[in-house]
Amino acid sequence: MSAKRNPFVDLYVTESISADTFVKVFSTALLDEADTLALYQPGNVLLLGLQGSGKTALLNLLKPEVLIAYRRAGAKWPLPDSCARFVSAGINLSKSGAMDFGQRPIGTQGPSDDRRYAAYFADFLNYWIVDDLLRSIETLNSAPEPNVRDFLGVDASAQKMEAFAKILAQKKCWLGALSNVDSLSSLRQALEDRIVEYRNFLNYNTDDIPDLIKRTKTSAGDPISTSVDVLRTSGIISQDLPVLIRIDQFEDLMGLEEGPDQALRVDYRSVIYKMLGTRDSRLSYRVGARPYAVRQDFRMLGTASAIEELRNYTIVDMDSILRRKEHSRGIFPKFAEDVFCKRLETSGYDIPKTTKSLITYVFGNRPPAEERARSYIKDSADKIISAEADWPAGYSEFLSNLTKSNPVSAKLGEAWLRQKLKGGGNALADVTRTEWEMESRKWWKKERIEHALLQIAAARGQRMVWSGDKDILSLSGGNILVFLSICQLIWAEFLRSGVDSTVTVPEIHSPIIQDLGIQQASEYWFRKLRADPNGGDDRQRFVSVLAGDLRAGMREDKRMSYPGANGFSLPDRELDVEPQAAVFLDLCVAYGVLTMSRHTPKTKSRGESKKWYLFPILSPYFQLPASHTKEPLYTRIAQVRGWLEKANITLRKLKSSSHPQLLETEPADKRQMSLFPSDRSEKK
Amino acid sequence: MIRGAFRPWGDFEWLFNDFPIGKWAFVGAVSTEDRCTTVLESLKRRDAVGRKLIYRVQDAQSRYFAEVERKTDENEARIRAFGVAHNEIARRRLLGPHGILGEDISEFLKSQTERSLIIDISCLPKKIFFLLIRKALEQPPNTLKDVLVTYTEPESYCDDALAENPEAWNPLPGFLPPMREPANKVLVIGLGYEPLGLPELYSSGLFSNARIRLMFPFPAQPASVARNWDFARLLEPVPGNAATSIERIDSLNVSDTFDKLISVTDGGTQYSILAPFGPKPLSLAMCLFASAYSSRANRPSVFYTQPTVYSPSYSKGVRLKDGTPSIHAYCIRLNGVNLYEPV
Repeated sequence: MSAKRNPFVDLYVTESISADTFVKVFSTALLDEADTLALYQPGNVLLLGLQGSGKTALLNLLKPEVLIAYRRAGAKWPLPDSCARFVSAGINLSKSGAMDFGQRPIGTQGPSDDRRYAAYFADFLNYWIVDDLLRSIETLNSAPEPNVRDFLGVDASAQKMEAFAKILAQKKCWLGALSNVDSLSSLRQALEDRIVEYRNFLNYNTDDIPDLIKRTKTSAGDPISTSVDVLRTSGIISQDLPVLIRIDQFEDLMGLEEGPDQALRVDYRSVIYKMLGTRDSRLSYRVGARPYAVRQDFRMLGTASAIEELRNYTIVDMDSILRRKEHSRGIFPKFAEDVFCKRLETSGYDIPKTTKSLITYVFGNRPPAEERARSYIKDSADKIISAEADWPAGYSEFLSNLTKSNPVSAKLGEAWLRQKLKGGGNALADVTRTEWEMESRKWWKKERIEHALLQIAAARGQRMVWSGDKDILSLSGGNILVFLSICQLIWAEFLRSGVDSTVTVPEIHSPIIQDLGIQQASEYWFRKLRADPNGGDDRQRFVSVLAGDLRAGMREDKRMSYPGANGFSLPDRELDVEPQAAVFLDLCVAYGVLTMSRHTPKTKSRGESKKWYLFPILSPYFQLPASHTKEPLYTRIAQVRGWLEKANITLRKLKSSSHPQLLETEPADKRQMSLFPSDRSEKK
Repeated sequence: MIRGAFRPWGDFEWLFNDFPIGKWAFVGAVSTEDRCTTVLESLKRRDAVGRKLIYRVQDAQSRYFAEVERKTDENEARIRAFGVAHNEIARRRLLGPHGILGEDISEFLKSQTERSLIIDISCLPKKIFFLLIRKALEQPPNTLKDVLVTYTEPESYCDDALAENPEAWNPLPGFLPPMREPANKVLVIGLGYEPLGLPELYSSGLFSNARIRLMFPFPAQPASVARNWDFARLLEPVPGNAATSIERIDSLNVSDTFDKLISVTDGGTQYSILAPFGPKPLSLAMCLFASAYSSRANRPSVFYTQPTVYSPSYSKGVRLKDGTPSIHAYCIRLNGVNLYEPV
């Protein structure tokens, strides 16, 4: 491949690529975290993560085609022995058509339609997953690659499969729907026919669901468990081989549940919760979703009980695994390094053997603060110090002189002076001693460097510059897709600069080139906010208002009393009384507009609190520091409400206090039809 | 003749005058846009309109809600003056279940008192007119003889965002993908003004193993071309695969675009995902193509990220040509014969 081609031109990582390509690009760094290995072990798992968190890559490892591709390539299967063997099947709720249940009325309407429609949905899931499970067994059994069947202990000989089909068809869980099945082929046909009947109806190819289906709706999860059971007793899979069932696009069920009928909205997800809640030792479920989709109540279909974390399922949260925490780096730097190396390798570059970090080799280190400040100042240090007429004599001149040699120190000196003058008067405020540079003040200084740089750049009418390995990693916010897009746009700038074609990995150390790419990436992610479902435009307007206010606050805070005011904090109790605003902020987090974490406020009276910051890649666009330092801006709910109003956002009404995360998209309006038009009078 | 059937299309007055005098059933929409009443007004003048189904579609709650309702009320009063009865207006929610739309359509097509139908797509949402056209083309020839689709050009579009807050990428009603999506597929994107949720999906790699074709309306007004390029750049911020995938099409020429779709899908044999984000006539061509091939095993699917809010200033006025409204008409069924059929 020509080294002239941008190695990052395709942003995607592992979604939708072939199994053979997957083997080449999959980063095993994700498997270094013990939490992620829970995905490949028995027990139900909710896998949460934003787009670009590596969720799909991890789920892809479950697919039989991927194991076969590893064998074909002669590559080492990346999972440790303790969780290397399993059989998997699954359903993508969006692609399968399952999302269309609830759209078309089926048969006569009645008072328990919520349960009835959920029952059809469950029946569809059962048939689809059993069909996919048999397909997986077939794929594994027919793989020509050595060491697939033996490795897993799968023996799906024709004789065993025929016997299996006859036994399975007679099981009570089907309610007689498969009574005519007498062979494997007729079983497969019966499963497919049922799915096709549903899809034909949902696609307006037929006018009704056949009576046989109406009479034989299966219970959520039962046929799947029974099928696994019979596969084991028939000797097709061994007793101890885990069977893992994938359910993808779980968050899209929210769409189904946003109809005007409250009860109907809940029961679709409760079908999945029932599957999780049965704690069936014969199989385990893997449910992939965005973070917000599971923050609802966990009521199970047809029961009053709720599923509970640990008892019924484990949560694997990719974002918290990858993202840097306050006291640990997270695994993201290692993951990004691995992905970066693989991209360059597959693009034909000769990777230098001696570098500790290829990212640092290519992009260099982040320039020190003084260097960045000088790039903002250029030829003149005018206006850096905003002197006051009542300052003690000589202080203004001292600081102005200091800007010529060390502008960051001078700006910090101004803040230090202002703090002293406010707190203790002139006697304590001798700037000539440059106390803020002393060892005892090192934390005071460190916490304010980015704040000082913001004010220097603003005073000079310059844009803040981001460059170097640390900036690129921190702006990525633990998201590999963001990281790749930054690399893509920096590389594009680099290619535009007229470099020669070479297979030597380039050193793109120019802060100008890097900053151009980063600014474009930031703008790209900002524009893309509009594209997200569930209110993308609203969130884009909100973050514009929020970031504008935060930046104005940091610019005007000349004492630098709030260097952490690029984020804001709210007490939980204030959010509790404004659940609509809480839902809105949750969605901002779920769609990568903001990041949120719990924190302990400096005053106990505020109680349990959360703090929010812009998702890091948006910082360059809004010219706010990306680092989280010191205390965030302590706000009240009225201020959040003010931002929402300024952004012209109409919050959607919540349906019920018992379901705080469910949204109502429309007001109750008697002119509108109900979800299923039992009341024909509304059609004028 | 290169292709089998002649597919009449062009100026509405010209085309309509070639049909025998009589009453036509009519399906359209009342909305905030001035152009929503133009075709109905023209038919009323000729006393050619029979039964009517007029959709009034309510958006999701938003900052525009009150203004949208006010403008739509005004236009509703105008169409009522053309003889539209209260019970001929179907009030539906944009985000409501599509089963209700399916029932509307089925009921309207079933009880045909007129054997000719005009579908005015100028202001009809895609989730309605795609299903409506497919079902109309499936009607027996003896119950529905002629079908015309009309499209009125506005004087101008709003410079700001036309629509907001898209929903997730979902198939339009009646255009689900095959049960097992074929590995060999082509994604055809109609380029327009509003990319809605498409860029996120594009960059997520959802289409990474699909051949991609961007249907770029050209020639067009310079401002329109610029907005279409903005759309394309949002999909591909750096020159990449999409740069070599652009198919320039005359957005008003539905017949040629239909043939182009057949061509880019190897005569309809290759599975295609159609993304109708472009001008309405381009979306019409996609609808006709997907309908024509809907009974095939690897039938085309149509996906869209439905906006939940439309700007109350979406478009203004009606474009005039020689002093008369610029209405384009496309005959899609003539004497019981569907004119847009598989090769």
